[in-house]
Amino acid sequence: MKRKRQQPLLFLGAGLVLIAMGAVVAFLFLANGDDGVDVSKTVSEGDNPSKSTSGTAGGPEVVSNGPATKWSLLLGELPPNYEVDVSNTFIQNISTFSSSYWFKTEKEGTDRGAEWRIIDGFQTLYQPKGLAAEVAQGSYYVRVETYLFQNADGAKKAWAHYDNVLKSSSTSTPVKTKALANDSSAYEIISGTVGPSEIVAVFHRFNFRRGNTIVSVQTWGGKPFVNIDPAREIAAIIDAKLLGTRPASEPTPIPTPSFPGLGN
Amino acid sequence: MSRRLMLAVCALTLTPAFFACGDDDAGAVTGGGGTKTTGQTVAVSTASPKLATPASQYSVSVEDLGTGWITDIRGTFVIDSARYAQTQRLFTSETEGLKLLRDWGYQGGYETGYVPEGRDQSVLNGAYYVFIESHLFGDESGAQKAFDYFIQFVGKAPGAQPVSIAAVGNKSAAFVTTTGTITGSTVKATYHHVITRRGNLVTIALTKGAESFMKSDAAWDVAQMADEKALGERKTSVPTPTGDYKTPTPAPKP
Repeated sequence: MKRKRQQPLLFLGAGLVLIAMGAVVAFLFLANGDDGVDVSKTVSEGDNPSKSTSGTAGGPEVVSNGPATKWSLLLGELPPNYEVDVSNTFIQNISTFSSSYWFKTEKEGTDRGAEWRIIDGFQTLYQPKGLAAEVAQGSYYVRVETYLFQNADGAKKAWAHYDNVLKSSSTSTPVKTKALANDSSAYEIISGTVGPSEIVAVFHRFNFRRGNTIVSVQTWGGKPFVNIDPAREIAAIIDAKLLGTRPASEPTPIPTPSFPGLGN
Repeated sequence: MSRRLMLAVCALTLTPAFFACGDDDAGAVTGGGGTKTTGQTVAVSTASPKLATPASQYSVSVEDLGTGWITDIRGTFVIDSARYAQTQRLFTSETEGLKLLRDWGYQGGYETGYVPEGRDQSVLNGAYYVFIESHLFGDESGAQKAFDYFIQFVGKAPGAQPVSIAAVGNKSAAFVTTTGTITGSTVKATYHHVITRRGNLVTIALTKGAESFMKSDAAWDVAQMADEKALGERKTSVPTPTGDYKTPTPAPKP
C-alpha cells in the first residue's frame, strides 16, 4: 500500500530516471565493428535478431565540416508521434564533452579533447508524445550524439577510447548486426521495466565512425518490441548524410529561454 | 447547473461506466476474504456499522495517498440532497433524484479528487488521477439501495467492462472503461471504478490513467483506505471543504 501511495512521484521520476539511464547506461555497451568487419562473428543474435542491412559498411574516410547539428537526426525523419525533449537537446562544447560519460574526470576529458582535437558536438533526444505509456505499446525513445573531430586520425583515437569505455561495462551485451561506416559497434542492456508495467525495458546503442565523425544512436523501449534495428537504421540515415547521399540540414534552433529582470 | 454541481458527481458520471461485482450476489467475492488482482489475500470484515455524519471523514485525504499528489481544490466539496438530486445523467430529473434520495435516507456526501504531480505528463509515465465520493444514508438498507442503483447506472454506460476484484466493504463492485486519450498523446485513457458499501456508507473510487499501465488495484487501494476509515482502522478527520473557497477581498486601508 505504501508503495502504491507513492507511485505518482515514483512514476514521474521513473520516466526521467529511465531516460537518464539511457544516457548513463546505454553507453555501457559496445562492440567493435572496425573497418567493415561483421561484428556478428563475435556476438550472439539474442532472441530478437537484427534484420537491418541498410547503409554502407566501410567506404571513404570522409572529413565532414561543422556544425555537428548537421550530422544528426531531424524530428521530421521520425514518425509523427515524436517530439523533441528540449532539456536533453543541446550543442556540446569542450566543457560538456570533458565532463561527459566518456571520461572518468573532467581533466582527462579536457586533455583528450585537446589531443583528439574535437571541434564540435551535438546531442538530441526524441521521445514519443505518449512517453512511457507509448513505449509500453511498442514505441521507443531515441537519443543521438554526434562528435566532430578535426581529422580522421583524431576521431580514430577517440573511437578507440570510446569503444573501450563502453566495452568495460559488465552489464552490456554485444548485439549481432551488419557493420556500418568505417567503424561500428552495437550493444544492449536489459534493465528495469517500462514505467509501472511488467514489460521489460531494454537499451540499445549503435555507434559508428565515419571519417572524422563519431555518432552514437541509442534507443530505449520494451524488450518484446524493440531490437537493435531502429538504432541501426537511424545510424544508417546519418551515415548517408555524411557520405553526401542524403540531404543534410541543420535543425531549427531551440529558442533560448529568457528570464526578464536578469538582463536577457 | 453550476460547474461545481456537475463536478460533484463526476466520479460516477464522468466516465461511461464500470463495474464487476465483488459482492455476494455476483459470487465473485464474499465477505471474509478475497484476492486482489495482484494475488494478495485480503481479509474482509463483516461489520456493518451505522456511521455518523459528516461523510467527508470517511473520504481519503492527500496524506493517505502519500507524496506526489495535489488536491483538486475545485473538485472538493460537500454534497447535500438538493444539489445531488440535480445531477444530470444519474437521475432522470431533479424530482426523481429528490425522491430516490429521500427513499434512501440520504444524509449527505463529500467528493474530492487528487491530481498527480506532473499531471498528464506523469500520467504518461505511470501516474494517475484519483476521484472519490462518499455518501452516507440513514441505514444499511438505504445505502444498499443506493449501491445497487449506482452499479446499475455505471453498468449501463457504454464501454464498461466488469473487473474481478477482491472484496472490500460489505459489498463491492468494479468496472473498467477505456475511452478518450491522455492529453497531448494518442495513448488511451483508462478509468477504473470501485464502488463499495460499508454499513450505511457508499464509497465510489475512480482512477484515470494510461491504458498501458492501469489496473484495478489503484482504485481498489483507495476504496480500501476509505473502508478502513469506516471501520475505525484508520485515522479519520473532517477535511476543510475547499470548493466554496473565495479569495477574500482586501479591506481598503483607512
